[in-house]
Amino acid sequence: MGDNRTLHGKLLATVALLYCIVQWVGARSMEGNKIFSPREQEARRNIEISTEQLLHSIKEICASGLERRIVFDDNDVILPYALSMTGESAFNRCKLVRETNVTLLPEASNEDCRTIRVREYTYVMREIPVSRILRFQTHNEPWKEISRWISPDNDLGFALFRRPACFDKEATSGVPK
Amino acid sequence: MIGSRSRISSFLYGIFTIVAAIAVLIIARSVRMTFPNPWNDEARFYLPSWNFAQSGSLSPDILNAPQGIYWVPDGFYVWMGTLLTLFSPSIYVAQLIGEISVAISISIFVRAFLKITESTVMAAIFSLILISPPVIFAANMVRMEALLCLLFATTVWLHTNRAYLAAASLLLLSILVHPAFTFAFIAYVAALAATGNYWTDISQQPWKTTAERILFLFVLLALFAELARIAHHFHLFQQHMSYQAARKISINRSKVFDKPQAILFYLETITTVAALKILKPKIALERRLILPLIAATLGMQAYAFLGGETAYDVYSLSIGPSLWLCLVYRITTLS
Repeated sequence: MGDNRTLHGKLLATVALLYCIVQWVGARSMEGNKIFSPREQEARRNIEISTEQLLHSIKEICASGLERRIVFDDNDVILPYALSMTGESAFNRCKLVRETNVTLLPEASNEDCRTIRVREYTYVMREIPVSRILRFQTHNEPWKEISRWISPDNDLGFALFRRPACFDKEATSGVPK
Repeated sequence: MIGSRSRISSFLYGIFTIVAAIAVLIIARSVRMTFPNPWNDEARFYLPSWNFAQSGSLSPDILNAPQGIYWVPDGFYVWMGTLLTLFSPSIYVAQLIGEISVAISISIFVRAFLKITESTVMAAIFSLILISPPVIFAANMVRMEALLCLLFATTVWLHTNRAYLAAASLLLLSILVHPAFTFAFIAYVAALAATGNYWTDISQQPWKTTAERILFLFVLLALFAELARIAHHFHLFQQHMSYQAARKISINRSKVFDKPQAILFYLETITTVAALKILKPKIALERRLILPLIAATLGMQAYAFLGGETAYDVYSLSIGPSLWLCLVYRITTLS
């Protein structure tokens, strides 16, 4: 009986140790994320710099003190980092909104000149050209890019857009709408 | 002589418990920005928690959801939001909370494994499976997996300490964090009911059951509060669930059934059934310890492989197999 126990124990211990190795080999890469990637420091810098750049762009827009709505889509990853770097109060009268796939803003919000759209480019979109991601249009009307930043390794980036008609309105009235 | 050997072995196991938890914490911290890279799921789950920390509300305006967000129940947002309020509302703090939670859950699992196997060597070997990429991934995701690891580890530990009502309550609480534990809860309660009498347990340990009943009532209240909230915003709940259902259906189901996660589940189920059949007479005395845990483990893994998401690999590839090996070892060593 004792021998049987030892045998079972040894067998299960061997299975467990082999499984440990298999698990480390098989799951070292999950969803394209590699454990112990040499890019760790670079990735930290990228998210820090992109957050700073995005905050800089948003604060520039918000500095006017006019009411604005900065809208992120569901692909956004930078907003949580931006809010961690600075409080919401730093945005004056700008309101930040991040849509989810169920809580989309109504189409009419795009007609509103207060709306600024943010598009982000992340590492998961590597296969797609940046130019196809960093653009925004409604009813075949491409929006005008206000600012853009892309990391040197093309892993992270963003661009801010506004309806072209809104620039025209500002030009004719002389007052930003 | 035997006593001193046992003390040394117990001391060394204590050290191992701490080392295992710290190892997971250190590895997770060192790869926190690349495993996983920042992704949009973080924002989906962090922002409602951040909103809760800022305003105490479960209706995040920042997600254009003034009536709430219903992808999953609100347990995670309340837990993470409360901790963010206590410390600092930052995603870096949220990551650290996840990593510490997983590290604590590893130490709880390691202790529970010793109770199950009654062998420090075997428990330590099976615990090594927990120091693995899926666990590190779960620690670094700003998602509910870290909290679920903690709840499930505590469930297992409570069960090994015969606090069955508390264990069942925590599994029920897990459903308020993510429905992933629905199968595990149902299977656990069914096995618990089939293997013993709750009222006999109470008469054996009345002090323990008072605390357990308070916990159970608290969980029931939370459950009713969540159900009332869903009923009040049923239209929104339906919208979220329709989207989720469409997304889940779009996953290639045929691929789900031959993935390693599924194959592990089949192997575990077949060998468990075989072992239980062959060793049925020997198990009789220990079935209260063994069967509910096996049921919960397989229930957890069933949902995880059917769900087919990488976030669930921590259950399919790490927690499930390690706990299962402990239980099989216990079964095969019954005299």
